[in-house]
Amino acid sequence: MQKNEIRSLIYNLLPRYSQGAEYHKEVIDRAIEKAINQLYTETFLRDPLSIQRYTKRFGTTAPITVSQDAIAGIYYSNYPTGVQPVPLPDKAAGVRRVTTPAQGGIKFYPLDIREFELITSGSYYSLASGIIGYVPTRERVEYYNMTAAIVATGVRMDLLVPFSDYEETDQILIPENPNSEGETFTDMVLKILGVIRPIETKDDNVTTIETAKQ
Amino acid sequence: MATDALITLDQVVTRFMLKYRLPTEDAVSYFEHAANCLRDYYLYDAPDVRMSKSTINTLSTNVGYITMPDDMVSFNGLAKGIDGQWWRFTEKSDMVNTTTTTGGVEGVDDDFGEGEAIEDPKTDTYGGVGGVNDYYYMLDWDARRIYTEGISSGTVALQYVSSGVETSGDTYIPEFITPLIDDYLLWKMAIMRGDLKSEQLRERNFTRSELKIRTLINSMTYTQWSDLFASLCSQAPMR
Repeated sequence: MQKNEIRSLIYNLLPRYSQGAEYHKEVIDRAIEKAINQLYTETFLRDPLSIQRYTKRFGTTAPITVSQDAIAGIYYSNYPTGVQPVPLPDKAAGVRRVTTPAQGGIKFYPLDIREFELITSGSYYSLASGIIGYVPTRERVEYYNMTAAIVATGVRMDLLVPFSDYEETDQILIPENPNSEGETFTDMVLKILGVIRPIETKDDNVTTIETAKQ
Repeated sequence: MATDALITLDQVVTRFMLKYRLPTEDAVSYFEHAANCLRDYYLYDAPDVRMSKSTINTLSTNVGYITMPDDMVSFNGLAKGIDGQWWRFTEKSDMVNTTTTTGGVEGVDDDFGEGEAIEDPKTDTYGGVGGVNDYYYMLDWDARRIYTEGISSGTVALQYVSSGVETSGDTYIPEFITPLIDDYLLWKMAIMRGDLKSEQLRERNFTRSELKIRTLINSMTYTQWSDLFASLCSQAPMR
């Protein structure tokens, strides 16, 4: 489903307490995001390899730029504008895959910052060629063993994007499996919203304005 | 055409993750363990000895030294090619292995016995002491040097056991030891996860793989057995 269709579904499943009382769009979006993130995490914990199916690929039209932090001596890429990937509890976090624009050859493996430091302090791994390590941090993705050729061409990334960072017409894939309590996606969202009283929101919570029916 | 008999260590790790449906998250750890397994294989199992033509750096007219290769983990021998065969050097552990640096240049101090020729109690009459050689060496692991005596320049053959991991470029290994490395990695994975029961089972699997490979690499071909029997026979007249 598209992002706006998912929101519409939830909106129309919500109970109407009164004609003018509505849930704020941001509240609905955040509730949806929280439920999807929870499903992503549970799906990942069941089978880490399956989470790749729910990612969005960036850098296909124009590759993501690889820059150098001259002071730190580190190569890095910024996340695509307006995207902060869902931080899953493993090294790759929300950056599930990094590749060169031309597929094959060079491999990118996720590292944590501890490994990053240990590798640079001397290891067999540092002798391997054709392998680049990447460390997803809050601000950017940092690389180990980056080559000049890849800096020139840029990279692609498969990111696990939170609901609020999708475009309105983006197709969003949601795990269909229920959570550990047997609740499906809509159950989870409605449960979150069930404890929040709807408010009149048509004019940014100003109570004196008439509201139109949806 | 069949697949290559040599593959890279990186390929072994990649195939391991593919076969056992593992995420790439621990690829670094797998690679480190695979390198350790390879080193152990060359040290304890493989008959492979790396032969390297090594240049002797001159210290005096009698003494020189060879710098140990970066990947050298164990010494096997030093030899000089004479008349189509190797003339092997003899170890002399009490050979003087200090040097004296003067004005930034490394050299020897004769007064301290550095760079001096070793005097063998050589005699060719009855009662002469045996076990002497024209060429000697002394291993200095701390300085990673091999001092030579009897030859102080030129090139000699250094035979050594390599760590197996190349310091530049890809590390190629025999494809047939892939199961050995796989079992080693599975064993180390159990240790990393603190799974004592699996650890013991997997260590046993690794030992079995090691024995299987030892059997393979130490077995003799039909021709080798035939040559062995032939070498033990002597000609005699047919009656």
